[in-house]
Amino acid sequence: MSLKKKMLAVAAVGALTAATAVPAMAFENEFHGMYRFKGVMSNVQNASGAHFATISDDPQTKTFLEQRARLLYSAKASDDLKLVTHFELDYSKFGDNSYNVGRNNGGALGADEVNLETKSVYLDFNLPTATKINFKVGMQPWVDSYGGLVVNADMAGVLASAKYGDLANSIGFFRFDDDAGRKGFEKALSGKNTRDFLALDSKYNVTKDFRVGATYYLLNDDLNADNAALAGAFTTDAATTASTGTNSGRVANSSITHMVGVNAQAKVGIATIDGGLIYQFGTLDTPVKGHLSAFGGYVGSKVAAGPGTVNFVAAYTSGDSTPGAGNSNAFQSVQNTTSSGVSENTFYGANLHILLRSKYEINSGGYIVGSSNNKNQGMTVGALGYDMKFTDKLYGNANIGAGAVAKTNGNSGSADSKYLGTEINAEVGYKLTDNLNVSVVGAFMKLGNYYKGNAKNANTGAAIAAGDKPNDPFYSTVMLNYVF
Amino acid sequence: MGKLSVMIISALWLATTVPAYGADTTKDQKDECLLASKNCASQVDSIQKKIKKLNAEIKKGNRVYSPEELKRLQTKLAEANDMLDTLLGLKGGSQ
Repeated sequence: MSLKKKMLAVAAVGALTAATAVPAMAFENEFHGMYRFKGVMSNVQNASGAHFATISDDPQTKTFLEQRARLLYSAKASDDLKLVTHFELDYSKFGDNSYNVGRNNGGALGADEVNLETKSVYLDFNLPTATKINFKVGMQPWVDSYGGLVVNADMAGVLASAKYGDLANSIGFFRFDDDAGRKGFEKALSGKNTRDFLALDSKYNVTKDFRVGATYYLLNDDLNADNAALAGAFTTDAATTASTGTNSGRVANSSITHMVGVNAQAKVGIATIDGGLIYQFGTLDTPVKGHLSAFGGYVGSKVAAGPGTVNFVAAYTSGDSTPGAGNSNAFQSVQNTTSSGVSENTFYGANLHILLRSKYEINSGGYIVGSSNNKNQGMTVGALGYDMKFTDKLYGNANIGAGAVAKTNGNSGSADSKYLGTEINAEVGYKLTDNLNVSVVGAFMKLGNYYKGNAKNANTGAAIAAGDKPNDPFYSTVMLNYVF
Repeated sequence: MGKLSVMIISALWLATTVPAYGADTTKDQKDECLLASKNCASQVDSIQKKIKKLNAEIKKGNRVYSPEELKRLQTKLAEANDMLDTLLGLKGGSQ
């Protein structure tokens, strides 16, 4: 081949490379989402959004239809840079409201509700260093390494993660609240009356099948304990009050909770086992000034058995018998300060629907243990289940789980037993397409002696007789789930 | 020289027309994109399909991918699983 021809051949290869490389440089717009519809019949859930169920005698059966849609858009410039946005549209129930402004509403005739919720907006990028360091900056989903016993929520902050061989480290700073500008705190300075969360999380792969982890979380709460007192102080001292920091009338919180924990995951033959233990200490300003010493933990296993999988989960969080006095032993789960559904923690490992929040939950509300703090009572939960595929399309699971409070206290009414009850449930589902499932869930709970003589009649408000127990709760739903 | 020019032009034409696959149909061909939302040029994977494809590629292992490439695929699989958990409400706010 002559030099001229060689050059032409090189040019041809170059041109081909350039032409075929163009698509790889394109911007990637990624859309995903989900839609869930539920038809619910229950005597314990009421489309209320409240986390704690009210167990009462003679509760009437409620029926409602609810839905949730989530849309996720990710703008990906490269594997090292993307913006993630995630939105949600919920109806608490069909028929709830229309032509209005409010989240979880708009299911009434005419629709036209302003109800778009922004769940996440964050930038996700890698630093081009020898060991890539990933940053997530903005409002993002984050869950602790303990199945969500402490917190599982969308939170605004900065999370940096890196992997060094078998070691993975992450450090995150999240701002949960900043009172400045909120009603009654107009003169507070941004960054002063805040509630912040620090998370250090390390995981080490000892072998391919065995991983250990250690964590340190810090929840520093400098929010004002008494909004009214601060607002009042501003009203009477407005001329001289420049900030909360200079206001002698300021009533502030100064709780600090340290959390140290260890966790592990192992594959042993046909079993996968994971678990964790976390200890909390520090000082609490509310409900009363005092020291904190609390702990929680869980263990779970999945074992292949026959055509399915056996799931076992046990979880415990400590409680306190006198949360209004002295030091506290009540496990602290994260709560928000801005809504009536206060819990920002979840524990889905047990696959229950009445005792704990279900993984299918939208806004129905009402489970016996509404948070792992459980009104400072703590919790002891154990569940056993079996999960299997009958055919490629037909699947099901059945579970039994029992629960108790760790300590009874002033929030337990007149309970003289810790035993909350035992739930049995089952689900049968069918895959209509790769992305769409239809399923039926039924759950029933036999109430424990915690409720003996310890409930009111739902209609009259009268206390039940000392030896009586209120009606046992049930929950059933028909569901459609589309994920794409 | 003439042959080479034709080769270059043909190669370029082939290369640049490949991404448009599925967008146009021949006279006797059905437009599956309009008819059944299949083979669309802009078709993207659902999150489940993405996870399935990533798992299948990772399974090919060292036979096809270098250790560095496998690590990248595993990172992408972890991200996709994470995204699915977020959509289903298992990770992040549930209210």
